Amino acid sequence: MRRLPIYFLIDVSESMVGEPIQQVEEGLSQIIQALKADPYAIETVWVSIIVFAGQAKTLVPLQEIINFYPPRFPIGGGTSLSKGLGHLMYELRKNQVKTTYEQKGDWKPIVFLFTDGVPTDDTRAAIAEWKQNWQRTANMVAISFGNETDVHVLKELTENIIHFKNSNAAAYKQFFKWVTDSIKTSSESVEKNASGFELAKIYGDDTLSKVDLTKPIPPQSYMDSNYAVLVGKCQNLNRNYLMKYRRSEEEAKIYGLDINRLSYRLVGAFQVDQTYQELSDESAGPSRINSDELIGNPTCPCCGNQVAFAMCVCGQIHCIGEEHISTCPWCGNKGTYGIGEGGFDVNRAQG
Amino acid sequence: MSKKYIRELFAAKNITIAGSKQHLFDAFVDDEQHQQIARQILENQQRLMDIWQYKNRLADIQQQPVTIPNATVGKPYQATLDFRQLNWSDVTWTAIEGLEEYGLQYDPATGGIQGVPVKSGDIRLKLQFRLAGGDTSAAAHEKVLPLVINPDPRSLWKSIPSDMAGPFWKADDVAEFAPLGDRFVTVASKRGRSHANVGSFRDDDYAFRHLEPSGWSVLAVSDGAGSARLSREGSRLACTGIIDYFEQFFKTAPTADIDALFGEHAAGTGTDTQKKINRLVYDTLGKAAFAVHKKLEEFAAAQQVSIKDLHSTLIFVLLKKYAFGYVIMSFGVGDCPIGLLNKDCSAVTLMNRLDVGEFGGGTRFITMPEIFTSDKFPTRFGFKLVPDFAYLMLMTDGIYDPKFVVEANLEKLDTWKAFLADLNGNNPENVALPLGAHSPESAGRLSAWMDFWSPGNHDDRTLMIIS
Ligand SMILES: [Zn+2]
Ligand SMILES: [Zn+2]
Repeated sequence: MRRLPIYFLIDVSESMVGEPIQQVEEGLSQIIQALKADPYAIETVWVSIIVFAGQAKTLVPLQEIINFYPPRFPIGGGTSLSKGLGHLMYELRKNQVKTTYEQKGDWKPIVFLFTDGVPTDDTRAAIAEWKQNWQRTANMVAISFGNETDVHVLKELTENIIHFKNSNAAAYKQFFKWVTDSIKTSSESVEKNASGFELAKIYGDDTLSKVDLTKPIPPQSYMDSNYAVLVGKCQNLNRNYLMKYRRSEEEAKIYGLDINRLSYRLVGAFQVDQTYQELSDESAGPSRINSDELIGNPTCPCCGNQVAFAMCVCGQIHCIGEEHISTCPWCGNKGTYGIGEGGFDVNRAQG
Repeated sequence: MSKKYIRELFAAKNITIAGSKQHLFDAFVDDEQHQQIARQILENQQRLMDIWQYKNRLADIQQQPVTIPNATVGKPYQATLDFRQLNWSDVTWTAIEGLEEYGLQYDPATGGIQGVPVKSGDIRLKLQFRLAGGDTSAAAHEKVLPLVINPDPRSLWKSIPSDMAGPFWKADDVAEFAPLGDRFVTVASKRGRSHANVGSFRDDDYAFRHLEPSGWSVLAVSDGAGSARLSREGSRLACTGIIDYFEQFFKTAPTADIDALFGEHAAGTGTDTQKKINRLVYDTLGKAAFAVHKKLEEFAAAQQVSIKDLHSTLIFVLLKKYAFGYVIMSFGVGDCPIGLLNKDCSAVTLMNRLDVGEFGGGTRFITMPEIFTSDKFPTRFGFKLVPDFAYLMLMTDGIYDPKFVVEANLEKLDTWKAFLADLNGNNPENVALPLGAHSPESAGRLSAWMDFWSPGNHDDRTLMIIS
């Protein structure tokens, strides 16, 4: 039998932290579960998951869906689409089985690319390589999560660009069902010796829509400004966490701030594991954001300390509790915190 | 210890003891009550550290990824939570609830999970555990372990009978055993699971006949294209068309001349006999193939459908026993092989070239007019004169794909030997035809053998064996 390889290339940059990545994690495990209930898919479909942020890595190597074990999704800093693509092409090359007189090769692989932002690096070389070596030997579907995705870059990769409005849990459910249906139809059509790539029908509502490439695409601003994500370290547990803020103009009014200023409201704080470092681009410098623009100070998601947002003289953020003297887990400096006067600039993660 | 602590505490707080107060301080340090306070402080410090250690350890365990292999419904399952490997020597007590409803048990003594799963699902097992040093009266800690139980792939296929009132209906399963001249034919044709799953029709077909007085046998197998709407009728017409054509043909053909030509060729007496035979094969079988093509074209026109709706492959064989051996002539279009095994099964001859492309598009059909004008047309014929043979087999890709996989294997004797062994019962289902047992039950046995399971191969299956 021939395999139908399905690759998921997933953006796990910081703006995906929290609900989006949880939804993707659950969504993928539901996709696999649903495919296993389909007699064609269970025997034909092989799956691989590649994640990328500042760096890329294979989360699930290409395998039969019956061996698939739901992975835990990491988060990293940055959106290096070129490293993501590079890693995808490496996996495609490594795994491909070509049809010869002696062996039965794979069906054309299908790649689902999920991204919610703008690449933080130069993608030209990777895109050129994709066009030259893979555009005809693989089918790619690019899905933009939310409104901040750089469609200009995606349209270089594929004609199939789907816009997904990731508004709530029901929308995610609908979206992952659409992905599942697309894979099912494709796996059935390969067995019937047809083309082997058929996207499921998109029903007319605004959760999912195909991007019309015949129309001009509005220009892109080069900052992922929907979210501000800050990295902190727990003073007690020495673990990293991310604090995620969403842009909100209404909030600025309520808090009596200048309406023309950007303001960000707390979404939540989330613990991240060691893979955060592994997936972040260390060479990229942090961008600055003024703490006055941030509304809300979470508790530490690692140890439960009341304040997760305390900034050391070294410029890094850590949690503080009721202790008189705090020790910065980044630089070891000991100090006492009062309530800051005015804003201070803090490092803002890139994703 | 506590004396040392008091002294270090004072030093750390930069409290200097004047020389004159040294005695007083010594007495202060020696005081049992003060030492008791210091001990209390030390104990409390220790307790804080212990609680911290405990919480830290708990957080580590809860974060630690633990993977349990996937299970499959109906397959005996055995997995172990290896406490040593997980570094869980401080885990003192464990339990998992709710496994029973899936047909599994957990043994806390060994960490083993085993049983035969009875239903599928992605389960989030709750492992309850206690840690050394924890409060035994408090509720146990909990860690979620994902366990995947796969369904049995075979249980996913439905078998919906085809609609007998539908146009050009044919039986889902057929099988026959019959004498054929001095040999026997055993044949079965079976609707694939992909058709059964949706209640659609079998697209494969076959036909055979022994013609007297000419002594020729005609055998045909055809596979209707899955994408063609009426290919079930196309394949039927292709097979019966060949039989009908030769029935007419041998009524008037110069059979004596034909017999003489093969006789000379076998004895090595005639001149240019090979050339003449090639000519004969090309003319006779080529005309038959074209006649069938025409017949399909007329049928399509009469039905007011496109001939593409009838797309079908076709292989056929003419076979005759002579005193000097057997003459076998063949024609083929599409990807259905004809294999000939010699008397002691020590050699195999693939009688036809297969039309296989990298993807589905490479297949050719008898319904395509271009095959008759292609310069490859002469390569579609086969001829063999053999003293005897063990088996002559005609099959569709529903058999060839799972059993031979690629074209290269059709020319390997080892693959054929394995195939013969498979027919004789060397298979996971232990179903045997067996080959060479010439009895009316052979038809049903071949049909039962054809139910073999092969992941990803659910096409119609047809196999015709002359033995
Ligand atoms: Zn903390
Ligand atoms: Zn610091």
